[in-house]
Amino acid sequence: MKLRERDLEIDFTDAIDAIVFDQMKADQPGYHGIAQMHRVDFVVELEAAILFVEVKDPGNPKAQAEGLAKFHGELQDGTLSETFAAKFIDTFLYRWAEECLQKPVHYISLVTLEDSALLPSFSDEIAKKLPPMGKAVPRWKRQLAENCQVFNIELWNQSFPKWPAARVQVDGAKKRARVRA
Amino acid sequence: MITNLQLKNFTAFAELDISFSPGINIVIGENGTGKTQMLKAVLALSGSAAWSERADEQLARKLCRIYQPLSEQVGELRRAGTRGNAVLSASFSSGQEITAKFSGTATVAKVTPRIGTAPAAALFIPTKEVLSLVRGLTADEPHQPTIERIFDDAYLDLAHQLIREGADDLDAKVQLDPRFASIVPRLANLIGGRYELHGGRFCFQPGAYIERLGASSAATKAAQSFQDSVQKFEATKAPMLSSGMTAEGFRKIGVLQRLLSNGSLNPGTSGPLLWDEPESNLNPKLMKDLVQALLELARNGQQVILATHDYVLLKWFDLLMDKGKGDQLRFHVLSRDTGSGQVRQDSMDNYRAIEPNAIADTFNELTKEQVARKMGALGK
Repeated sequence: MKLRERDLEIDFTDAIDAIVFDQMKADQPGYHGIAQMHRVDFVVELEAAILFVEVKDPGNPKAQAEGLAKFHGELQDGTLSETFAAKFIDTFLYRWAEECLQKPVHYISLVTLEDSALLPSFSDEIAKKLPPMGKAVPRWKRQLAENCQVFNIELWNQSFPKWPAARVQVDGAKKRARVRA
Repeated sequence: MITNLQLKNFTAFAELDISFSPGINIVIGENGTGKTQMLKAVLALSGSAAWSERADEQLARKLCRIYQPLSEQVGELRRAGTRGNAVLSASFSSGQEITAKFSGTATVAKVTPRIGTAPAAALFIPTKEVLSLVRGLTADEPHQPTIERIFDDAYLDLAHQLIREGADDLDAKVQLDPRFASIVPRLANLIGGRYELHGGRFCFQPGAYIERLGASSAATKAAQSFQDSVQKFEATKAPMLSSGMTAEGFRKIGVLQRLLSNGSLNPGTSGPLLWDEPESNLNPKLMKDLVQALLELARNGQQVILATHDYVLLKWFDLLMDKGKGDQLRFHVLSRDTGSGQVRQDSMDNYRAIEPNAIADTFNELTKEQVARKMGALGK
């Protein structure tokens, strides 16, 4: 099942179901409908697990300087990791209300950072902002996310050969369209 | 300034040919690929022993003192299991050239040909901190055999350069010489004071450089007398500390401070500054300022060659280098060929072109290990 976020496409070849979770067009199937809640881009159901997937593309050759400056500013001041954490938490609540959280959840993100050395620290920064915020809570019986990790395209493809990710050419008119196949 | 180094059948190297940038050179590679050995070869070939009248014997002795082979004979430094002589050659920016050769059983290193007069000697800062050792290494009646058994010459040479008397009026230097004004206060303010030599030992004087308006008497004598502010070191009331009481990372910065203040390191005149793992024992937060200081040294004509394992150091160089200011940065990668086991070398001017990048590979390993531990076979 192929899902596309702008110029990036991921094929979840072994998925039972895969949806564009942040569908905000009322006339489309799977309309989200709550603009006040943060949303990850994709939710993928596998045989034994659920994936929340967020995609960001600062490495897009067409990226504008203004957008890049904003991205790097937010990466530096910590607001980007806060946004990533909020997307996970709100998506988790939404899927709980839908009664669609019967399997362990993995939060994996595709961020096209060329410098892969930045990925481990950014992953940890997001994980630290997810409940229980790195604390040991004896009363908790289970965890929200089994894994919280950020990848660039190269490391994503090396780690998940069954979910190949690639940059795709998109026609101007269809640039913002997301395709579910 | 060294422009080229060639090593053949020497220690880890079957064949090495490396051209240096006149600015900053960063050598990276995994352990055992010969980074330190390469720096030490530059130290030996640019030093006085190689350019003395009895260079054959003296260079051999120097190589033994720097590398400390088991048999204490230079022949042992020829790469094991190879045929032919070990050959070390270097070229320097004023046209000097030197070549030294020796066999596996040699006790001298045949220095020929040698063109030109001795270049400015290199300075080598080893991985371990030396400032606190100076008192013992340079005592009036040291037990030299014991000292030489513990420390190689890279340590002893540096200890002697550190205690060298020089124009120690650092404040005047800072005020009169723009080369120092941009570096020395930065280093002192980075560690909250400066190291001073008192009675043959280094002590740490807490304090900071503070900018004062109005020309001082020293400044008025100088060509820069138009300047309307001066930087002056002001000691705090905190007591002076022995260097052993201060953080080891601070002492490494202190080495640079001292070499600048006594003239051992004189940008534009000194030979290459060789620094083996500047990051060792240094708080990563100090790294940015250290890199800025090294870039500033290079902008003033100081050639720098450093070996590192540290991503933060590498990345700061990549981010802070400014081609507009004439910064010249070259990366040299040493790696071991998986088939032949031989050390290969490649050089590049762009951080992103570094291949293989042992440091970045380690971060990728972390990513993959986390996937393996937390996600098992998912996606595979």
